[in-house]
Amino acid sequence: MLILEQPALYSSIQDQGRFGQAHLGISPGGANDSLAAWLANRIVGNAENAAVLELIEPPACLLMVDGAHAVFSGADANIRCNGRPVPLYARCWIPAGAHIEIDRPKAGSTVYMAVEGGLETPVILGSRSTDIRLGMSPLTRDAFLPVAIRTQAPRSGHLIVPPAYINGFRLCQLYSSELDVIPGPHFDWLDADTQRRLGDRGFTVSSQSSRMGIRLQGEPLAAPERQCLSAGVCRGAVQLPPQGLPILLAAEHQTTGGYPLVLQVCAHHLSRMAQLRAGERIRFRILNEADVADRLAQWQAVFQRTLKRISHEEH
Amino acid sequence: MNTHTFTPLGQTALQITFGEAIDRAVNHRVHAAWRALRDADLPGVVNLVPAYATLTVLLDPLAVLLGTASLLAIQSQLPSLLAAADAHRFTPRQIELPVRYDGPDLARVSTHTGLSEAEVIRRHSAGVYDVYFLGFSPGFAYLGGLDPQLATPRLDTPRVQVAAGSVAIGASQTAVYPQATPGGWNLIGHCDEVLFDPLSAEPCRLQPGDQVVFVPVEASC
Repeated sequence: MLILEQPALYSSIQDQGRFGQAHLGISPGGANDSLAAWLANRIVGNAENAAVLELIEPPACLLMVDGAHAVFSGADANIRCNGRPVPLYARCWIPAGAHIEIDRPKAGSTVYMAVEGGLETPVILGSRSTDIRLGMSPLTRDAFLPVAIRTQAPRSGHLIVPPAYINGFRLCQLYSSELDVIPGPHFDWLDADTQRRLGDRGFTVSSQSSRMGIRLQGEPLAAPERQCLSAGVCRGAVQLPPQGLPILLAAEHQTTGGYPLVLQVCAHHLSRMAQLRAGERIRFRILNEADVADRLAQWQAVFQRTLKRISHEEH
Repeated sequence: MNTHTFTPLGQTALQITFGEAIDRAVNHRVHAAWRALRDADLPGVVNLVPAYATLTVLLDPLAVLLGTASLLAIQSQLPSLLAAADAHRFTPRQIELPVRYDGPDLARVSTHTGLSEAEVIRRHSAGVYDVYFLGFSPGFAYLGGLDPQLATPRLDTPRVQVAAGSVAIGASQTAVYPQATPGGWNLIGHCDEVLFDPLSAEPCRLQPGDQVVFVPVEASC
C-alpha cells in the first residue's frame, strides 16, 4: 500500500482504458500518456493493462507503507526516494516507510508510477481508470492506494535497471516543440490562408486543459461556417469550434462531437500531446500520408531496439 | 442505393458515413452496421461509436503505435460485413419509461407552443422515439421523433445542475438526463427509473437503436 501525501494538480488511477463502452457514451479514458504507463508496467514486470498512478502537474509526495518494486515514467521530473535520486524508466526497490518526492517536471506534464503487482482499486465497467462521469473521484490528499502484493523483497540493491537508453529515447520527444499531425476530415473546409496559418502559427497550451481535452490559446482562426452532424471522435483529433481556437481530444474525450475535425495528431506523437502542459508553446507540423507512414515505421524501429534493451537488462 | 464512404480519422480510427442528414432510415443502417461489426469482433477494434449517420471504428491507439493493429488490416473485411448488415433487419426493443409531467419549464413550453400543458403532455407521451445514439455523457440518448409543434428554444442561461431523470425539450429534440449534469433544456417532467448505473453489467437502460415511449404517471405523494 502507498499513501499519496501530497497530490499533484490532478492525480488519478489509470490503466489502458475502458474498452467496448463508447456506444453508450462512456469515454475510452485510460492513461493520457498510454505509452509511458505501458512501459512502466512492462519494466516493473506487470501485466500491460495494470493500473498505475497518474500525476498531472506534480509536485507530489508519496509514502510507501509496504516495500515494493516500482517504476516511474512520463515527464522529465526529478524524483527522490528518501532523498536519493530515482531515474525514470528504472525498476527500483522502494523500501517500506520510504518518502518519495516528485518535483515539477523540467519537460512534460505527467508522471506515472507503476508498482509491482499493480494498483488494486475497484474495477468499474471493465477498468480501474478514474472517470468522474462514472462517479469516480480523482485522488485527494492522503489517499490510500492498495497494491496487489507480489514479491516483497528486493532482488538486489536500490536500483536494478538504469536504462538511460530509454530516457534518451523518450526525452527527445518531451522537448519537441512541434506536434506531428495530418489533415483531418474537415481540413478542406478551411480557406487556404487558415490552412497555412494552422501550420505556421504557434499556440500556447491553456490552463483550461484537462484529461478530456487540451485547449490552445492564440489568435483565433477562421472556423468553418459549415456544421457537422455529431459523430464519433477519437483521441488526438483536433477540433476547431466556432471561436477559432483548437481543442485536442485527450484520453477522456467525449465519445461524440460536432465540431469540425481539422487535424489529427499522429500515433507516434500522442504521448507528446498528452505531455503538453499549461503555458507551453506548440506548433503543428502538418505531414502528408506517406511521411506519416514513414515516421511511424521509424518510430517502431527505434522502439523495438529499446524493448530489446529492456529484456537484455532484465536477464 | 445503399452506399457508404470510409473516412480515416488519422491512423487509429475510421468513420463510415451512411448519409448526410438526420434520417431514420440512414440511422437504421448505422445500427445494423454497428451490430454486424460488434459481432465480427475485428482485431484491434476497441470501440464502435454509432451516431446519427456515421459509425466510427476506434482502434487502440497504443496498439497502432506498437504495430499490433492497423486500419489497413480491418478495412478489407468491412465491405462484406457492411453488405451483410444492410440485408439484415433488426426489430428494435421498445422501452417504456414512466414520466411525471411536473417539470418547472412545462409552463414555458406551453406558453411558447401555444398548447395547453395537458396538450403538451399528450403530444409528448404520444410519440415513439428512436434512440439515434448515445453521447454527450454516459447513457445520454439522442432521441428522434419529437412532435415539431413541441419544439421550444433552450433556456438563455443553462442550469448549473439538472437532476438525473429529468425529461426535457431542447429546440426540436427531447431527452432524459441519465445523470445530474449542467443543462439548458426545458424540463417538463421526471422519470424515476435508473437510466445509468455504472456498477451494473448493463450500465445503460437505453441502447442505440431502441425505441422509447413515455408513459404519463401521476405524481406520488
